[in-house]
Amino acid sequence: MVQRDERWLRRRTRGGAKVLGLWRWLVLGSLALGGCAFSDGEPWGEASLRLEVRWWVPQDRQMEGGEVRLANDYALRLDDVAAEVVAVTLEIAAPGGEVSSFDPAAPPPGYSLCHGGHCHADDGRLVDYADIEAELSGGASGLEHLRVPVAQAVQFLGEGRDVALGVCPERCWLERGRVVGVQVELRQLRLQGSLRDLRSGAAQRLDGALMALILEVPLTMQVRFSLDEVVGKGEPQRLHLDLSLRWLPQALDGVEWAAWAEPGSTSMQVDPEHLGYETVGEALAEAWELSAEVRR
Amino acid sequence: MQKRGLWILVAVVMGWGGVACDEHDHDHEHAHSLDEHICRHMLEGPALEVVAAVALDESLPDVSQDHTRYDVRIAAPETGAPSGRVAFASGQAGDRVIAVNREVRLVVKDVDGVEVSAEAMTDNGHCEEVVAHHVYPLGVGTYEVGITLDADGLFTEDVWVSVIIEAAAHADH
Repeated sequence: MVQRDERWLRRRTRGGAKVLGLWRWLVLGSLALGGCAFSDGEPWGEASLRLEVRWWVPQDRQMEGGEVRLANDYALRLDDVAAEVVAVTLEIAAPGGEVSSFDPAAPPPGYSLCHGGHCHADDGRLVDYADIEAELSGGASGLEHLRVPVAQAVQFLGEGRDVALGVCPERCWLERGRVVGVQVELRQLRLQGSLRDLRSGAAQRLDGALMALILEVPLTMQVRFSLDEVVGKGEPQRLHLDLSLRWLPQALDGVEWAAWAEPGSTSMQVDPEHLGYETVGEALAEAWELSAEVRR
Repeated sequence: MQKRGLWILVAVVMGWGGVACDEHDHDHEHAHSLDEHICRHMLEGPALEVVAAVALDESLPDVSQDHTRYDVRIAAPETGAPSGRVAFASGQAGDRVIAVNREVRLVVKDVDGVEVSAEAMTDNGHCEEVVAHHVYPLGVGTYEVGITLDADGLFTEDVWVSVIIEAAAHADH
């Protein structure tokens, strides 16, 4: 983590102004109404965070009995799903610091044909604008990180679960600059449930009608969301982020589950000991989506 | 007073007309945008080559990636028109446009083998490289797409059909 200097702790005083004209009162009043930082000893900004995690199934994938339809014609039922949330981190650019921005009309080297929220990478991947921005921002110098520890295993089947965040360092005070992104760091995903093959006849892939499934993936990954919130003079002091981390079934569409099934068995367990588990792990890692609702 | 009322009436009618025009323009722009989008991929790719399944026990090649032109190779038949099958995995319910570069007959079937009826077949008004847009309402799942060349004659060589499948609600371009 970048070492934070102490400049942001300095107090901003109004000494010397004995007599204030009407216009000064008006300016001060308007700033106060706007909720801007102006009191002695207060920081330029102060962040507060809330994080909710949930397994989110779009309506067009919901089947009777709580099953989820996958695009490769499997029906997945989850009885338990859990992940360890390691930390939530704010990315902060210093005032005046240039953070590379992404222009779809002039994509960076390695990308082309940018439209509809994504670009075609030279290696054939479809990459979201946000991921390219993250890549560019990650390479920019001058980013500081405010990392809030969590280290909590979260079971998030059904309704969204609020995650208890750890103590925010430096009282979550923010120095002048721009909050350009937020990351949630995850580790270790475990799911338990069952699978059913929707194909029949010669196209059927699983022997049994129902296959019990336990999947353990020791992934370590960050899910990022881009922000552009200015902290400084004339801006509201408080920056509250309602973070919603959703795990989506779409990324499981490409997993060929039958490859893991032992002939004649009615259960499968996928863990790092299995050959090729990385494919499943990568798919699961891409299944996360982070969004943030900002309140100032 | 009557004159004032008349002006208000005229303003309301004109305003209504303006809104209607805006909606028409929006629809037109959206359709135009989808046409352009498909033409762009038909002309510039990215492109992938696949070999269509012909025999019943052959596995179907996948043509599911968005924004990609699939050049489908169909083996020359002993008799009749060249015909083959590919697979499209739909990750979202909604209308899909199957755009092709030559005259073909399409048959789309769901996982249960039930044929899906096309909602519409339209021209692409933006480029000659796209011959037709076939629109199908799809759910989540893998669909078999049968492609048969709409032509008579004796075929001694394999034929190629370029296919692009996009969501019909592909508005943000």
